[in-house]
Amino acid sequence: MEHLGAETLLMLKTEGDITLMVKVDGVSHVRSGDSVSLGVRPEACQLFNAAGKTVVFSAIASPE
Amino acid sequence: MTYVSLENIAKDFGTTRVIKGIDLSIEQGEFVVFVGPSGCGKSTLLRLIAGLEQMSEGRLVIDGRDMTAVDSANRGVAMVFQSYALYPHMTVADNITFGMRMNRVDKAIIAERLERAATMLHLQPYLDRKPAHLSGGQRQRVAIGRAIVRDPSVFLFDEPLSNLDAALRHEMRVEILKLHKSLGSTMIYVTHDQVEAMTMADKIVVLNGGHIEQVGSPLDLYLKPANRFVAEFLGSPKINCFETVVQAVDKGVAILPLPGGATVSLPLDSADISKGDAVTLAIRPEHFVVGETEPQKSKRRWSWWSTLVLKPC
Amino acid sequence: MKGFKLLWHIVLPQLRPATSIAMIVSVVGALRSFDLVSVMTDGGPYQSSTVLAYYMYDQTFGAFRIGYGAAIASCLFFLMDICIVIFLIRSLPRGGAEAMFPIPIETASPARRRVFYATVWICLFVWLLPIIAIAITSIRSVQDLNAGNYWGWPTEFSAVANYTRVFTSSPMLRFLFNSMVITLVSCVGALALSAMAGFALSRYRFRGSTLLLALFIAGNFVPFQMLMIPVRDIAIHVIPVYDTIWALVIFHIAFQTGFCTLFMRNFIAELPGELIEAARVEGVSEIQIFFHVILPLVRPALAALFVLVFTFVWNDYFWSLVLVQSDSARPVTAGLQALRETWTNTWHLISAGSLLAAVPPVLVFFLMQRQFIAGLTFGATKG
Repeated sequence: MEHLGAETLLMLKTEGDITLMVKVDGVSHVRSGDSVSLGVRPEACQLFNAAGKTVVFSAIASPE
Repeated sequence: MTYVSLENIAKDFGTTRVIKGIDLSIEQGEFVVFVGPSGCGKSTLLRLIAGLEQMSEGRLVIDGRDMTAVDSANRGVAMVFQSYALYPHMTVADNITFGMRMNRVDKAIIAERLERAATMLHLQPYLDRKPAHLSGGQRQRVAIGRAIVRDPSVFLFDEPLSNLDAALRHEMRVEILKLHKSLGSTMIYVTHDQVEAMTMADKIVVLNGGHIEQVGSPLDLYLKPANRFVAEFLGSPKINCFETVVQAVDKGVAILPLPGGATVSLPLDSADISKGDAVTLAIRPEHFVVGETEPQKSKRRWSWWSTLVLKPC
Repeated sequence: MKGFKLLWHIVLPQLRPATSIAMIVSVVGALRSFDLVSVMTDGGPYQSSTVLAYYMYDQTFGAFRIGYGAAIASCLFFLMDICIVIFLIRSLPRGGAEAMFPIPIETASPARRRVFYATVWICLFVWLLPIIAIAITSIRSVQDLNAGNYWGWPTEFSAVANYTRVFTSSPMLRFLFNSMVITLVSCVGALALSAMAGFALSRYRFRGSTLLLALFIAGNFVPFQMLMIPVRDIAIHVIPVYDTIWALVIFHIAFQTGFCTLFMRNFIAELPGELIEAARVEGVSEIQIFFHVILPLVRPALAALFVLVFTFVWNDYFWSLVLVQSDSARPVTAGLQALRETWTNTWHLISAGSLLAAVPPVLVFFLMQRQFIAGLTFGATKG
């Protein structure tokens, strides 16, 4: 994990041994080696097909 | 209204095609950033617009005039180079006025434009110095001043901040944006730094391997990337991607397995995904919610994954 | 890293642009070495001191085997050019060397320092010995010379008398003036032509540019003694300048431009290309770029070349013999002959004349050296 002050970067390892990078605001109290649960809204997900083209856009709208 | 228009521009170096047919239109007064990894052709594209390289194919129109065969001096563009390209044997004032003096511009006009540029860029105290006695940021401003006095229809910047340290880079970013606001000119800016692209551009052009991956506003590109390359190129830290296989498609909703056993349901816009397709799921690092306990039932629209272990480091 | 390791692995690789130029100059010089052999040994005894240039000359003009001599010349010329071209292509500049600061000798141990200074003084003495000898001879009287007192303390100091006689017994002022005009005009001409040619060869891509550069390089390795007869013919029949200082001017410019172009091309190629592009975007014409951007930036190179070419041309003896005859056009090198008298010893006068003749190149060197150093403090594009 990296504390950047305004935000904290967490490197999480899942059961499938995939590393995820997670950014949380402020200072996180999670420590190295802790287990945490993680949630994600479906709107935030993007899906690319095998050719790399986007098939599902994230539904988080830009503020404009 | 389109001010600068690139039509199917291509460039070959020997037998290698480095620019593979670029179509792009730029509005008057827009701040456009070309961004991409090194070797993607962004600098070459800028040099084609400047007329420092000859196009192999295509057409360039600036302000309604076909510039394809016009030499760089008459395209009405001004360029700021990565190395600043200041003439080491001339003072700051001479550097800024060199082009005008060589083209025999009226002395009163030269003096007036020099005065205006120097005021705008806070260069008055340094006008008599040689470039060797200036800091990096000051040299950068002289290079910009040299562009301003030409009163160009298009400003071209080739990675102008890459030789500056982080603090100065931020300062110059703000200064260039202010300049853009006060001059209202069209500017094309090349960088490999996605932070510069995100913070400065009205319109980002993401280039990769000599073609355009996507064109759009910074937030559009960030939130709605057209493909995986753009999604991965923009954003720091990088977007999380993982390969997975579609478990089921039911009434326009795809069910995708997540690492750890959970699933996520995504409504599909189109029907070109079916069960068993290999896909890549991508989630930005800041779009996660970290909780130390089990989720509450009320937040059912959140897909919860099983417990993850923070990587020891 | 210290001492030799530093020199071998760090300093010498960085100096490659400079050493490659120095190498070319000395190779050219060595290949042309002819005068000394001709004057001192005539290639003997039993050809043990014959060099190729002398052998060609001897075969051509001594044995009148002109075709054979020309064939040797051509073979040597092509062989050498192939070597030099390969060498040059490998050593073309790829970015400037940074300034280096060797460890100052003051920090070495006292014993090493003594060895260092002693070596420096010995080298200096050996190097200066001929000049010292000439200087002493120039203030001797003729009696000393007749008595064989070459190295001892002069019995009589006749410096004023000797130097006055140099001017009264020969048109020495005229010779010096001729030399000055020939050398200055040749230098300016060669530098002007080579700066323009160097700019074109380094900055424009055009069909045959590599071949042209190769020709410029190759031209440097033509043994010029072979050109004696054609050049004389040209000066008499084609451009009627024989026996005027313009004969020397024209041919010196022609011969020096090749080498200078090579030098200037390499120097201009090292200037950042963005400087020229920036000027082009600003609508500055190519000729203006040449005068306002390139020329000021290559001033150090021009200064260095000026010193070199000045020395080459001023010291030339061969072409002075070939192309002029009368005193009105003769430069000082050939003019010193006028001080020779058939029956009496005039070494003291020739020495005095030689020293006078050596003054201008030395002066030029010191004047231009300051210019040269001033040129180096310009500062580069990046800081």
